Amino acid sequence: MNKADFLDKVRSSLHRKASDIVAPAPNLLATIKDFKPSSLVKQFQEEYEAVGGNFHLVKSKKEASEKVLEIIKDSKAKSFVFSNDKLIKSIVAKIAIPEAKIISDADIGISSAYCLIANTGTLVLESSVGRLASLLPASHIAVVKDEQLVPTMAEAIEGLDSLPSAWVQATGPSRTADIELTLTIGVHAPGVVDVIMIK
Amino acid sequence: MEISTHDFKNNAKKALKDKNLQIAMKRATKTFVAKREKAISSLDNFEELRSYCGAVKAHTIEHLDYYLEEFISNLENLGVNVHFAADGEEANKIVTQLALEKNVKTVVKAKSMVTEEILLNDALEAVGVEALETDLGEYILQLDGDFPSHIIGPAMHKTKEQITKLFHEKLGSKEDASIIELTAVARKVLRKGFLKADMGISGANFAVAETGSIVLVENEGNIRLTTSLPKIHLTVMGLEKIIPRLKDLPAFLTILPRSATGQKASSYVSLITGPKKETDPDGPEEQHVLIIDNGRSNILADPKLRDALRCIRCGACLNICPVYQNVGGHAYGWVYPGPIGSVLDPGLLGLDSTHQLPQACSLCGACGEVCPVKIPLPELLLEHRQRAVKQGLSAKAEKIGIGAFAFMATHPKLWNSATKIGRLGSQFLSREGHIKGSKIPVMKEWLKERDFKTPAQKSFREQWRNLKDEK
Amino acid sequence: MRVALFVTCLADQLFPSLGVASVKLLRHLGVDIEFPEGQTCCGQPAYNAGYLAETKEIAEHHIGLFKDYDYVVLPSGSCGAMVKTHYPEMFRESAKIYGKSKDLANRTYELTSFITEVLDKKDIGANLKDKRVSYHDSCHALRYMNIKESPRILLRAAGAKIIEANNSEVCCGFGGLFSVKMPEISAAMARAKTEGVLETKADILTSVDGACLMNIAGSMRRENVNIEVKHVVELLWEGVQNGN
Repeated sequence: MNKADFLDKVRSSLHRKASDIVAPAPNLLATIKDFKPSSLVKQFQEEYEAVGGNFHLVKSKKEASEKVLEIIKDSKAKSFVFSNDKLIKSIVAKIAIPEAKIISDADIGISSAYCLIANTGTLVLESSVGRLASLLPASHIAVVKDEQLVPTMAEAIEGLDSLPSAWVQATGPSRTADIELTLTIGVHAPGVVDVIMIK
Repeated sequence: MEISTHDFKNNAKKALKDKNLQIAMKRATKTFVAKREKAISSLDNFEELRSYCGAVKAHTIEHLDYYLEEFISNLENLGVNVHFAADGEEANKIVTQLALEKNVKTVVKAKSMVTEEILLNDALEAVGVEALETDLGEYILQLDGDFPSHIIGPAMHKTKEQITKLFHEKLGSKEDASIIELTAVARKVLRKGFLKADMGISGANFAVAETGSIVLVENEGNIRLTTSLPKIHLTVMGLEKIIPRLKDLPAFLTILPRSATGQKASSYVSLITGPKKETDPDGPEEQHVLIIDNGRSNILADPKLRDALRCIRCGACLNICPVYQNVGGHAYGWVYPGPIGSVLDPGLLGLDSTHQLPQACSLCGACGEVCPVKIPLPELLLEHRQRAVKQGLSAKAEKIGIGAFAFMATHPKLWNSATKIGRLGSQFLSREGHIKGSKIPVMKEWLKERDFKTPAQKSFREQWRNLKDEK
Repeated sequence: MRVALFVTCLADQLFPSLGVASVKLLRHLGVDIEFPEGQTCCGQPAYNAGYLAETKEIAEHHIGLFKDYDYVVLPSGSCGAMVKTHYPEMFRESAKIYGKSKDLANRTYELTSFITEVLDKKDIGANLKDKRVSYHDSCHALRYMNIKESPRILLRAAGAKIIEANNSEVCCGFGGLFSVKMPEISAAMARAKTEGVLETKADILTSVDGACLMNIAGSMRRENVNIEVKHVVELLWEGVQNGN
């Protein structure tokens, strides 16, 4: 079926002709009221930990770098990958284990985030820095800044000029409940997730 | 999967006797209902958001021609190839041709009900393309040659014991593998599939007209992989998935996971807006979107049923429905079970083969209460019942019976004598104050699994004559 | 104040003791209750089966019969929902009858809510002290008439201990003709209901709807479960006879 025929079918189902179309203007807007922001950092931490994420608050880029090393050491990861941006490049410079040649072989992925949504404990990841570092390895570390926090998704998309090819809101580790609704962590994407927030 | 919507009654009887199914259903539906309640109570204004989302969807459906056109032109501007199919056959042809043209050997699939509707996997296999389901539930079903029984928990009709046995037989996993171990086995097998796949096929939870974005909601990460790794990403979506603006999305993403799995947010929400940009390090080079009608425009053309197209496939009406809880999804005989299935299926497949479904309901109203987009499900179920009567699909005996009943109910004297005869007659069938066996059709059905107390000899109206003077 | 009893066809024919208790309880509360003898059925069985034309005939008969009363009281949430919700819906497009149906809907009350809302009474001088009662929220009373508190208020005021079942708001499986069209599913639902009631260890199961209770009691007897099943109006009247 071509586009014109397809749209005609829809139009005739609505008992309208092409010339009848009036641009509708939905004026509705809803506010999501489930956050009590005494502090966005605190709220993010609570929500992130509630879904099984590990949260670390640090004071400087240097501390963040040390935290990354510590997590990698504890995880016994053998190789890592990282997303393509400045902050992360400076952080991964000192990592002792090798960078994986093939992304899918990496044990740990390190990335930044576009922003953070406090009321759900969500990281917004976007495609311009690469999609795979936060997706393929079994562990993911995000290094972020507290100024990247927004209260809800509504603020995250506010004033956005255009969307990246992929805008991903990640909330906690990969999970499934497909077997008897029993929560199981770590199916296809990272099962261990850490956020290191520089304040 | 063979459509058996016409045989709901027999399907249901079998389901009630299926011990594994009964165990699995009891474990699963209770959890769903409790989780949803908890998630909703954590929100101050769920009712307000429900009204909002219902209104946005209703508005969109009323102006679907406008928003679809906007969506399509935005897709085209993004460099997305847009395809259209009137029905399943055409849709499958488009997908298989695309796969062959692009020399695709393996397709990874993220869970999509619309592809279940059109049996896309069968079509792909028929032209030699491997189609691998990657959602854990769907993968389990594919391994077992089974099909989904729930919109969001496709394998919820299976017990863990059954799945452990299946994995042991098909994948060589341990005989007593735990759920965690089963999940790890699936990850390993499916990761290989992801890495070799030439094409990823996903559905769509929402399609944003204003931006041309496909919105996908999931927990496992298989959708992220499906839309990120293969060179080609194809979205197959029903024409009703549209929402107008990006700023409408947060409300939907607030009510959907709460209604579906009882989560505040699903693990991953992906907004896919066009193929990989030149500067992107990774992502699919080609994006295709296939928009399918397959009976939806019939529902759209029907002002009374149109509300059903608001559905965002959360499954809350299934979970709360006491009929669904007892018989499971397969009994309904097609991809959309439960209350929403009993409303949609007659619209998509026609009432002739589906008129038992709207009868599979005690009209308790629970589904209408939980629907996050306020589809008046009980009213629509009744609407189908009324249409079935008008179309002569109801049983002849029922039609005669109801006619006689209505005549008596409007003629009190006749009503009095007829009911008196019935009541006195019942005394002959009575033993120990209860009706003992009966060949009268309605009573016979009642007595199958329940007792029936013998009616009192004197009706209330007969007793009233004395009662009146007592005061 | 003229108050009519709509006894409902099921109570009239199958369990008239509910009608008797309704009359006695209302008289005890000073209501001069009348019983228009031309009453039959509200038409719900035909309506739920999809027979709209037939239902409309029955509804018009019912509307006409009760037109002169200030209140129409009935011991059922289900038949009440039929009159209050479905009558006006059904006549949406016929202006003349719509007005009458809306008027009747406004005057129609389920019995326990008539006591708490119109008579504005909580303590009706009933004694149900130490009775362990589980209350079944019948679907139509709960979802179409918003009756959740009235029966509980009266029971509590009478000293009964209400033990809530975790499935108190789940359908018992009756559903009118559904119970005989799909008897296996209907009975499975009744058994699930019983399970919830058993967990409460209550002595008595009660509700505002006799049809649900007939279904549950019929299933309990078949399954050899011994719990007393009694309509809330009969239970309250029994309490009144026990005195304070």
